[in-house]
Amino acid sequence: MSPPDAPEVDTPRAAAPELLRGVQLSKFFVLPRGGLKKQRIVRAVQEASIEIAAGETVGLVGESGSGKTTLGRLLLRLVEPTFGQVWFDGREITYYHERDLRPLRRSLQVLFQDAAAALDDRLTVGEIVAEPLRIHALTRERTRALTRARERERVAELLRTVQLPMELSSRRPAELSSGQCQRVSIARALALKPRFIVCDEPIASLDAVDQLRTLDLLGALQREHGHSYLFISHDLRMVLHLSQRVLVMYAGRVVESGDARTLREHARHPYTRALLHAMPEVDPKRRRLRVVLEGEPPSPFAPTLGCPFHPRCPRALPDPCQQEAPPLEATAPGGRHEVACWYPLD
Amino acid sequence: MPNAAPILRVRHLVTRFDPDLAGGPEGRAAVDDVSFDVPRAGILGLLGESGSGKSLTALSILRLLPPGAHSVAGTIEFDGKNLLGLPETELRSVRGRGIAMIFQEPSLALSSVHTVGEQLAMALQASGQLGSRRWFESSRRAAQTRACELLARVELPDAKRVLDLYPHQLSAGMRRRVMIALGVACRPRLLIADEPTTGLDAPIQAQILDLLVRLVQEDGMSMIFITHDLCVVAEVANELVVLSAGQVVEAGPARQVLDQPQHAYTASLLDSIPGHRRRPTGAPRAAPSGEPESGGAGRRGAASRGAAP
Repeated sequence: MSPPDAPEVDTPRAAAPELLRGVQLSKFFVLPRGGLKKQRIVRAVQEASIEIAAGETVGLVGESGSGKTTLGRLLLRLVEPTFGQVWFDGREITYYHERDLRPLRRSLQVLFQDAAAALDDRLTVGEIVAEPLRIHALTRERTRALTRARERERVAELLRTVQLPMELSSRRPAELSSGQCQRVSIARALALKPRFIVCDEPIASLDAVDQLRTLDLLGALQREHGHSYLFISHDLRMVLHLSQRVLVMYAGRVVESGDARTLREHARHPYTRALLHAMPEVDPKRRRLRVVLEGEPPSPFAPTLGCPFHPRCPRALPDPCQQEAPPLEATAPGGRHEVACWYPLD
Repeated sequence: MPNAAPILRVRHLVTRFDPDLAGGPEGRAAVDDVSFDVPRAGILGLLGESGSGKSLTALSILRLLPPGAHSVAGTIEFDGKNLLGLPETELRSVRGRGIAMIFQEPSLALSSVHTVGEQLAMALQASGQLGSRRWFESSRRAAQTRACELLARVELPDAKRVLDLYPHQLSAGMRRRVMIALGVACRPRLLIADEPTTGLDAPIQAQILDLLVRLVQEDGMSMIFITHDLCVVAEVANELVVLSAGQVVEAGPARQVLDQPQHAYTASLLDSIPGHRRRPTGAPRAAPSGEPESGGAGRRGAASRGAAP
């Protein structure tokens, strides 16, 4: 199961049933030809596979443009895959019609980075949280008045869950702080009792103290309701701290995946190592090495031949690194730690 | 070095928004009695959450405040001169050459209709570094050469080509480098960097931090480094000032503040770093409660303490 050097208690998670699975997912965007510009293809995600068990938190980390948001949206079927499959709860949902997806939408929710922008600024907080209840008719009663009363009850309950005062339910998003907006969107996502929530940089636009409180809240909600998270962030430290398993993306590909602890201590892909060393640290003993990653990530328009990381990789050799992209392979037979590198680090 | 007189001495600075401008009838003090020294050839970190008044403190120094905001009390001594008392014409000669600023958001601070080369040339021309302008062509060539040098200093590869590009054609990391080049174009003695790495990915952030530290060391420049990120400030700053709701809550040598925070607010910031273990000394571990106070709102006492004249 886990590598021999990380004797983790793995069994309960290993036994947890699989909830969501992406198989060899790829997404190519075709940018329309306009004026003098030629038609261009962006390979946003290439052959990415991911599995998420019930109640598990999986982290997805990478630089901006690495395809992590697109992969999250592929799993939610908000974006149609160019290749690959999406499985939810043992069923393949890749080709589900929107009509058939609708009942599943209740189970698949998302939190966006900019919570204030994700909320309709003309609705009150109460209406925002009640909207999914109405759409899915979860609070429908015999009469309209009863329905409204039930709805109000449920909204109050949800606001309590995310630790917002009930008075806020008549306010509009513009009157709230960004931390409060994020908690409103958490309440909205929870309204449908989802089983899986994609958190796309949910705390990137919050202050340090608000970040901590939002993370604590997300953790407490998971313990109570048992849903799974896909936690997307550019912040490797945050992701390692929160997740049981982590996938590292680079230029649209998963380059390394494994248990958070394994990656923290035994990352084998040079890119993951570089990310770890690039994190600024408060503690001078853990201060990052001054050797930082040179250069910038490749342009998505001009795919690199060979390993996508080779132009920045200190270990790259002309052959095979510049010729062929390395496959994602387990470091030990049957292990959960996978790395896509021709010459992984020890 | 630390014994030398500080290059900038801020004392009891109060910057206030006009009454009736988003601050209620009394006007609100966005910067409220702030004092600190910037060491010569050192880096002062100004740490605070959004709305804590850190950017307004910097803008007060250069008198580039948004409409409706005024510095109403205190002194800002740069090299013995009180900038707050200086007429606008004299202050203009301090901006750029004496004190330069790198703004937070390159997409707003850079002109989108001028090439990188043109913008650098404008900064050089404004600072009078290009000498006489009798021969327009030669001055133009001089600007080109200097601009190229500047881009090389900030480690932009392929500087010649970048000169002819517009900001939108650059990556986020490259835009930051152009901003830094503009900031150091006039060889300032004090550089104010407002969130220079916010929004960058970790590897690029590390590159930019290294670059800034190197520039300070090479030029003997001083720097005020404004950020909300404790980890970033820990990497670069010698001295640290922690702001909350417009007031200094803690100040001192960076190492000391980070190792033994005396104020519960600083401690709570440290605690909010995932995986960070603070040594069990100093301030009590206080769970932060309530919304972070924004710019004096809710602090009646401070806001009503003497309205602006």
